[in-house]
Amino acid sequence: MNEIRNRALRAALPHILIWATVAIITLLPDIQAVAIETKVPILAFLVGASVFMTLLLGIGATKIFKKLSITRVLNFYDICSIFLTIVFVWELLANKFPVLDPMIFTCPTRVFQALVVKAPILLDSAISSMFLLVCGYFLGIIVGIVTGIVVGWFKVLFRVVYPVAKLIAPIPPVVYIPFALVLLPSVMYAAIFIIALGAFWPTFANVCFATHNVDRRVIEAAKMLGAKTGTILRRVILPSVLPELFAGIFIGLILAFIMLEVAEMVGASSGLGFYILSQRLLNHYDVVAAIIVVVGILVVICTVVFDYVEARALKWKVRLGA
Amino acid sequence: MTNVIEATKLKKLFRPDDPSRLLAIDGFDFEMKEGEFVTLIGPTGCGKTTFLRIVAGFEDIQGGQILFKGKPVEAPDAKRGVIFQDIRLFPWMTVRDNILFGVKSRGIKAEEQKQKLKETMELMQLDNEALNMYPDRLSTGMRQRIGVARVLANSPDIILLDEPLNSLDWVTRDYIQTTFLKLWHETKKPILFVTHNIPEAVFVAQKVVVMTARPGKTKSVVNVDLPERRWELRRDNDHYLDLVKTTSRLVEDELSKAREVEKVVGY
Repeated sequence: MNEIRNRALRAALPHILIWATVAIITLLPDIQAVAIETKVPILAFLVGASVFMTLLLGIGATKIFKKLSITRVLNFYDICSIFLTIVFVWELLANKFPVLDPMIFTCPTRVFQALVVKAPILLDSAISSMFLLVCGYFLGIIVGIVTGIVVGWFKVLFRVVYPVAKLIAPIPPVVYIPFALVLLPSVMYAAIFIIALGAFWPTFANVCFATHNVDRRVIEAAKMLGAKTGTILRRVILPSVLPELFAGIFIGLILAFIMLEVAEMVGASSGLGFYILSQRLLNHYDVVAAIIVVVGILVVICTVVFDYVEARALKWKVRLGA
Repeated sequence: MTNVIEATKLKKLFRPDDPSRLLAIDGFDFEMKEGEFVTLIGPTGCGKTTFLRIVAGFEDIQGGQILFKGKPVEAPDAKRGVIFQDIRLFPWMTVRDNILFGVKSRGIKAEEQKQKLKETMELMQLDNEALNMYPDRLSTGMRQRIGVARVLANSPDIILLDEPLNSLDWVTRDYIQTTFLKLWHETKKPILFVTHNIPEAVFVAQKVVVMTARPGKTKSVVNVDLPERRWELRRDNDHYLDLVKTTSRLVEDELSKAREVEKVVGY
């Protein structure tokens, strides 16, 4: 009985939060000085979320899709509850009761308004940012993987390069921005360079070390089966360092995001980092918050794709813990 | 007949910088003729596995010479297939890719690859279902069968077995033994088998080479004059048991010496 009551509560909570938020937005008066032009975006989002989540629960309960079990749906519900609580409390404290500074903290209603009103420019900025990120990130990890394997494979090279790399790697790539801006043909190249550098170091360090410590017994097996060095590097070393490689390129992804925003704030004239800075100067904190939401969504999309690729690439690995 | 393997005055140090420690093999002479099935036996640490690794090309030597078909051994080669005690499959490859690793690496045509795969699967009794699985999800016996299959698919000139049956169950053990006995009977492909299991050594080979305690030399050679269709031999055959006894006595002599050596050298 307890279990059922528990589940019912978990299923009801986000819906209660949604409708409570809808109620305070529509019923209580706004206290912010600047009038809010439209409340449609946030209301549409909340109602849409409620409908979507009901649908999910229905699918989970009727077991139409095997992968979407009721346990997973409820897990998703719990995560939603946390975010909805934040939205509810935020709206309450910034726009309904005078607790938070209304200018800096704005309010969810305003942020959603900004998301819709500024959608075209947000989209343009996001595309521009993602272009830089993808170019820089893939450049960084590809160079990191190739050089990491080569340096790790040749013992002499490893003994010289690895200690030097260990000394240079901790320097935050941000400090090279002045040189990058002067030496490279445009701000775009400078940004790509800094992002690539952010992604490069953790990738290189992990791949290089893993290659150096690769199981020599498996290499012997490959050699006695007639594999030449090229084949060994591609078909034996590369797959055997994949777990460390993925750990490295994940840190690289996070660093690439940080470098992206920094680079855009310093030198660019487009992109989310540039946009965030320009809106701050105008005291448009609602737009700043909207941009943060967009960055958050992009990060989540990237990590979800990343996790999917990693799981596919490492499906041979038996997870003893799980 | 020509010698497949010919080792003269072989010397191997594990620490060439400090010759007082771990002299693994010293003045070891060995020869193996084309078409022979030889087992190498001796007390622990006598250097039998080291010798097999030298033949495979995994170890450098500090003295003497090692010839394979008249040419010095320099590096590992697909001509000398090794089946390891610890199997060493590639865990990121499916069973199919593991078996075909050698043939693919050597750039053999796709049709021929298929043929090889079919042959070895039949030989090692592997079914299609297993082909798409990853080795870590299989039993040890199954994995060693794949370890054998990938070497056989490569058609080496000699097969080197480094105590491959140690951690296996009886059924798989017997099965792999029989496979090699039949394979040898049909193809007369030379097989060098390193083991410390005396009955096994006598059961499979034509010739048992007994090594001394470290540093390893040849102590004596026991010729096994049992019928060639060995898989039909009963394990209580009198002549077989006599040969096992003879070999046991030879090895036992070395065991006490081996213990002394362990004490002196330590690890």
